[in-house]
Amino acid sequence: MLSALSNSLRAKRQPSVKALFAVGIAVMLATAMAMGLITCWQISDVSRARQEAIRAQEFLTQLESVLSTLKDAETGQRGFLLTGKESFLEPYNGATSRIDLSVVSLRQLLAGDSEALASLKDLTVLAKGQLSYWSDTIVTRRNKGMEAAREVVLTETGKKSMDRIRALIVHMRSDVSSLLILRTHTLEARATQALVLLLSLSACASLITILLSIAIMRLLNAQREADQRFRAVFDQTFEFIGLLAPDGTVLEANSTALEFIGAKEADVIGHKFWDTPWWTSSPSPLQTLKQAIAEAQAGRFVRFEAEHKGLSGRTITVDFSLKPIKDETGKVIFLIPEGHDISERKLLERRNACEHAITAVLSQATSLDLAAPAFLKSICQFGIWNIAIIWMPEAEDDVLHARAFWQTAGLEADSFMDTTRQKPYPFGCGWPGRVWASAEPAWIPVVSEDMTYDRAEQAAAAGLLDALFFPVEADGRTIAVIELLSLETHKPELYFIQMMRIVSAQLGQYIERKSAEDRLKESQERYRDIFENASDLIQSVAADGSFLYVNIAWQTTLGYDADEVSRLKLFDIVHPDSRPHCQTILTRVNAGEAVRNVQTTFVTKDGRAVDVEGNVSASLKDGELIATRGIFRDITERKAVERRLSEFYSVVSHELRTPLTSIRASLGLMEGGIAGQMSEKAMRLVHIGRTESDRLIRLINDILDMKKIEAGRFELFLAEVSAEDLIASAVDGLESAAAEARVVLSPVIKNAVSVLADADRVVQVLTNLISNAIKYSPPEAEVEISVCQKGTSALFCVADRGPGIAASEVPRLFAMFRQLDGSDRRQKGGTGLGLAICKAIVEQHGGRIGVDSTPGQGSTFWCELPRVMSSDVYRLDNVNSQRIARILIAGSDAGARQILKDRLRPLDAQFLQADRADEAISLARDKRADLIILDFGTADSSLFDLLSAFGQQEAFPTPFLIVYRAADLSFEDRDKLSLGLTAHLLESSCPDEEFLTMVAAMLARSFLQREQKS
Amino acid sequence: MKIEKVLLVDDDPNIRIVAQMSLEDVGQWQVILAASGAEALAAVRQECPDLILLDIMMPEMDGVTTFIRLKESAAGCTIPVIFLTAKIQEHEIESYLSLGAAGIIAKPFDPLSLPDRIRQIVGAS
Repeated sequence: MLSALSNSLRAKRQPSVKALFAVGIAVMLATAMAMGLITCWQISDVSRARQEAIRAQEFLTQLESVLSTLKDAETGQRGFLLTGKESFLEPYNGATSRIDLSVVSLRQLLAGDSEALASLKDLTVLAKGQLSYWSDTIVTRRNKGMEAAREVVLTETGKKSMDRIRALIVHMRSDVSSLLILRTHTLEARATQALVLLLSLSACASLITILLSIAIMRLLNAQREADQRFRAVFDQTFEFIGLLAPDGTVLEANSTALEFIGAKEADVIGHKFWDTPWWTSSPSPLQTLKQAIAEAQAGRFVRFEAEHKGLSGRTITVDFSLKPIKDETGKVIFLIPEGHDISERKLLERRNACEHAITAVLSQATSLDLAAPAFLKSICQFGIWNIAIIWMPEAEDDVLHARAFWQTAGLEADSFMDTTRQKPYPFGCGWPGRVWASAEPAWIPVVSEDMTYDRAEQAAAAGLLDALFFPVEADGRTIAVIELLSLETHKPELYFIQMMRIVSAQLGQYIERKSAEDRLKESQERYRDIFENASDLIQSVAADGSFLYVNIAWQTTLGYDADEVSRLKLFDIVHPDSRPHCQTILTRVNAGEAVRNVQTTFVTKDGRAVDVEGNVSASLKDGELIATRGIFRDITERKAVERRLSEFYSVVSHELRTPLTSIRASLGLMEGGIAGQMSEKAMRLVHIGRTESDRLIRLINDILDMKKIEAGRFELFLAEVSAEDLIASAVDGLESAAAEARVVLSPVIKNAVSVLADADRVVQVLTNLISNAIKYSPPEAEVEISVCQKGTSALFCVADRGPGIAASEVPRLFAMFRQLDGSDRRQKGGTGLGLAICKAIVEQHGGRIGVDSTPGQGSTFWCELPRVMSSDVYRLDNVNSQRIARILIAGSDAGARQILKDRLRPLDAQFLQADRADEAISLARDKRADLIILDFGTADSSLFDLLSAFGQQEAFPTPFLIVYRAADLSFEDRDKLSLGLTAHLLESSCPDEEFLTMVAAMLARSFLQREQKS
Repeated sequence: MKIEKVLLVDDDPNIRIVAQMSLEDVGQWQVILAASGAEALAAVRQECPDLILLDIMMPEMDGVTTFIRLKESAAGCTIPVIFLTAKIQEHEIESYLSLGAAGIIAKPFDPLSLPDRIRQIVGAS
């Protein structure tokens, strides 16, 4: 039956056996017909040959008869001639008529054969002639006697004629015989042809028959295999498949379907579908099936979901369908019932629905108390539980309490619930406490039988059977326990445990988040209070520039009320002069950077400028800017103080110097004897006055220097200078002091070294170091001033034979006002600032300063300054062979940048280019530029912005070379436009050689700084 | 160049006294004094000094203005000017030089070596 179905499904795809049979039979018939035709043709040939043979025989017979008749007539004639008795004439008398008869017969036989007829005619003539001759002889004998007759005979006419007749007959006979032989040969050839034809025909027919048989065999085999495959698929598929007659009688059912109900084929085949165990034990109504079969009978496809109970007692949900199969005429011949187990899917749908409901609950509920009942209800409905409880510790407590509940409606469990509410479980105690401690789920099949379930009595009273405990985890620790109870024992299946893990993790996260939110809210309230009452200006600005929050100090300082603030934009409160700078800062902040120590100017509602300093950062979420937060301090006062202080310094400096000038000059003139001779005592006093005024002058100079150092506005005028010259210059200036102290200054130039340095400043350092050495040297001692190469540096040393310095004192040595002791300082005429200034100057050069000393033996003060490399200065590989230098050229004019790059080509460095401030900053930082060259037509405001943007970077270590193309700057402006190690250069006045030397030296310094850092 | 007559411009009388002593007694020059920029301009016209020592911080007309006026005047435009000033920050020094000053001598100065410094600056014999 199944193969019938499979055939009907397959019919159009393969040639049928029937068709092959038909072809075979047709071939056989054709062969038989051909053979019959050949045989008929052969038979007719043979019969024709036989008739011809008979005719030939008769012809010969008649011919013989003619001859014998003639012979008889001759014999009779001869007898009569000899004897004269009439009786001898008897054969002769009948001869004529017999010959006539024979001739007639012969003519008939030879009808159509003109040649033979001609011969016959000759024969007839000869025979007649012979007979008439004989008749003459007979007549002669009878009338004239024997002698006359003998005379006639002796003419031999008769004999000659008779010989001709004989010869003619022999000829005719041989003609017929040869014809007969020819005919016989033809017949034989024809017979052979027919035989060959018949044999070939039968061979062809056999071949075709064999081929057809093979084809039929194959077809049958293929059909059998297909049937087997079909059967295998049919039986092995997970789906339930069968075959019904249109009236619902079961014709086939696959193994899957049979196994499900534990039946054999015989149990169901031949039965009505609705009488089979599939449907008789199904909770789904039979009416639906019957209706469906009726519909399918009518040719419609029917599909519905049905519940079926299997042999194992498991009820599954089946997606059931009935498909009608029709024949060519459209008549329904079979129905295919098909069932697909969708229990898993149904379960998954329910599980998804449950999880979705839980997610929705947890995402919407504002507190756990609101979320918990709905959460528990979803779990119970999915897992068929009747009571659910969340156990949680209170705050920092170590005891679990029932925090939330849910129970099915109509359940009488008041006593159980009351007990539950009042029951605390410490960590590790009771089932909730143990699950809390172990963090493992636990299932109790029958609570009333479990000795450790301490609410068993109340649970039994409520009819509760089993219980499941499930830990709720967050961040790897258990923060709650869920308890589920049910009226029937049902071991939780894996899928339920899996789902519990997911939803309990969700709950855990929810609880954590809520508690974090609560803490945050609390701290927010606390901080809001701090913000509100802070004296700093605090603001939060949205991406569009509107204010999200400003504190009271902000409103008070800038004079806006809350309502006005809501209409303000960020740039409304930024002073017009500060806007470009603020925009630069904002760009960086929006990119996620926290910018510290921003100095800018706000403007109040009534137009007053307020200088502020503060930090700005961005609040980003998923890379999107949410707000920029700023906290600023009003530094208007401080700025004013700074300005006043700066003026004060300047005035003090001037106002102190003016009277000092008179004092110093007066004393100097007196000491020099210009005012006339003085007593020795007076001279000594004047000397004291003069030296102390000198010290006072140095002190004022040092204080001003220190002020500049502290303000970070200590500028170097760099040039390539020889170390020897620097030393000579310092020594020259101190010759008199040395002579006075009877100290010998010995310059020792170990290598010819050049440094890129501010000569005046380095001389100042050396002077300071040497004069210290002179001061502390005993009389007649030597002070050695040397310089040598040390790696990439020039090392200057000033060695004295003084008392030396204890190691513990060294760290304090270079601090301000730190001479070894106060009295000493005064005695030696120092200001206490000298070494601090030296240190600042040397470090500003990218160098180092220090002292090596052995108490009692003297001290060697040294300083290292980056040296200028000699011939291979441009290659820089002796600066740092590990990598090539990276130079960032920043400037808005691409052409000018290219010119700079071309000029620097001999350096074999890597060039980076930037035309915007933010780009320059990120390139300098990310690519670790060794030198930043800022190219500017002139010092416009953008350069200032750019530098201040760099200045906002914490401790920007990269040296700057600022190149001006159009006009040089005043020193005051250069002072403003300096940041860290900065050199200024007017491009037009700088030959290539000098330019390269300068860049190489700055690079060398940059490398040195990096080396020192690392 | 040869120096015989020096114009000293300073608003501080004490400095005028000590500087004059230094220039006259140590430098052996004739000294003309001016207490303000205006006086200085007048003195230049009348006395034709060989050199001018010019203070910067002066009331009314400061040294820089006086210098510019001098350079604009027919009489003063060729006379070398040395600033004698207490304002000796680096950038100040450079800007004075860039104005066209012959040199700068910082206050306080050593009166005994002042004439030598002046000679050094102007290359005087």
